[in-house]
Amino acid sequence: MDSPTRNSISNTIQELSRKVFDNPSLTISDSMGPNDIPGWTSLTFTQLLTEIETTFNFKFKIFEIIKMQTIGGIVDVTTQHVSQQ
Amino acid sequence: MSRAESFEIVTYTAAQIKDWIEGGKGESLLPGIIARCRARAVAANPYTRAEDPLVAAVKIAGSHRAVAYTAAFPELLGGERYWWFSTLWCDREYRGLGLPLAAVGSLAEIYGPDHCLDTMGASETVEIFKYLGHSTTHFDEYRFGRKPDKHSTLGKLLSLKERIVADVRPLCPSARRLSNIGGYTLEYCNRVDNPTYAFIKQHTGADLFVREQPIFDWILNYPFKHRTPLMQRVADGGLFGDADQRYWISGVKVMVGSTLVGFYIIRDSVSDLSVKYLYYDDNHSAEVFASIAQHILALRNPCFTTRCAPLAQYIGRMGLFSKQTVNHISFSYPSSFHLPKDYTTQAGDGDCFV
Repeated sequence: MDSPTRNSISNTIQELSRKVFDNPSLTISDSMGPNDIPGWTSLTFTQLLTEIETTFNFKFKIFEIIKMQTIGGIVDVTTQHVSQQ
Repeated sequence: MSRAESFEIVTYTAAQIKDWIEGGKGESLLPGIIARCRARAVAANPYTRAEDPLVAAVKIAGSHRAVAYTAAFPELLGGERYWWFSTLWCDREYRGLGLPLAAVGSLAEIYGPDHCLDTMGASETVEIFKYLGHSTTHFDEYRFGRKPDKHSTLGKLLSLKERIVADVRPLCPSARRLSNIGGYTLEYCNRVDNPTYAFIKQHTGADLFVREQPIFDWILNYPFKHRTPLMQRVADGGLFGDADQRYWISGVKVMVGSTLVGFYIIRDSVSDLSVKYLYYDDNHSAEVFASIAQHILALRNPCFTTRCAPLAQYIGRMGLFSKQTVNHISFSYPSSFHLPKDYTTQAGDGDCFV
């Protein structure tokens, strides 16, 4: 069962995704990736990472970037960082 | 839907790249990641050490297939090594996953982000370097195209020759006696000797980067083989193959009598001429610019690129081209990098030339 922290992080990332992908009604799920969200490009992906780092006050490690192929991957890595704060 | 693959980041040192180029160890590592000519160029950089990582690739874990890579080369600026990122590629099928960012970031972590520079120009690369904490500025590059059609070429040639002679004659009394374009001579070189380098340093003006002499020699002596010897012979024979893909890099000294009045490095092919570096005595700009116009005339339907505004104005007045555009080239730099006011750049800055 997902921890509340992961759920709240996922909700925050959904809000950030709505802003970055310019879609106020976007609803994300863990399995979603570049082919599922219109406007997901290398550029917007980088912008999303920046938004997450700023919001949660941490920096992604370079090796973590290649693990984040989906929204679920992004949420998992973010949750790990937040839990270590 | 998520992908089934996982990825790994692999870096390659100058020593490994040289081994691969020479056909020794690591033969299976680099094909498909970087072309040999580019690998040869970056590995031959005069400021490269054997243990320096020069290429970072993101590969599908457990396979040799690279889906993104980047390459960088060092330069000595103000006595410190800085790293120009010279190429960035991502397989179309794997875009949007941050793989180029991972490749660039892995090298930047090793070099130190404060010593990374980029002028590759795509919006994605600008965003990557912004993520790494860089700022971005832009400078102008002038591009000319669409040479007038054949019917007007002869007229343009004649008027150009008159124009060039008219530019040169008032400055060089001896040229008045010349029936051909004259007043200056050109010397082609593949090395920057000490007098030429002294001239370069004297005429760098407000250039942001003052290149070291070994860098010029590195650029002028790249091995620019883009084909196997057989394909090269076929292309030379004109049977088939695209000769337009071949290009040369030349150092050109402009001499008035025995005095060096200009030096430039041009990259030219059948259809494209780019002035990568240009240094000249302001009192002899007419001769120097006229000599560049001569090079343009020698090409078939060329495009022409320069960052030198006075040269661009001169070429524009010549009427050799019907179209001129101004491209804004991005330059990403760390916050610790000082940008003086009203600086200029050369088209060759940060360019790997391959």
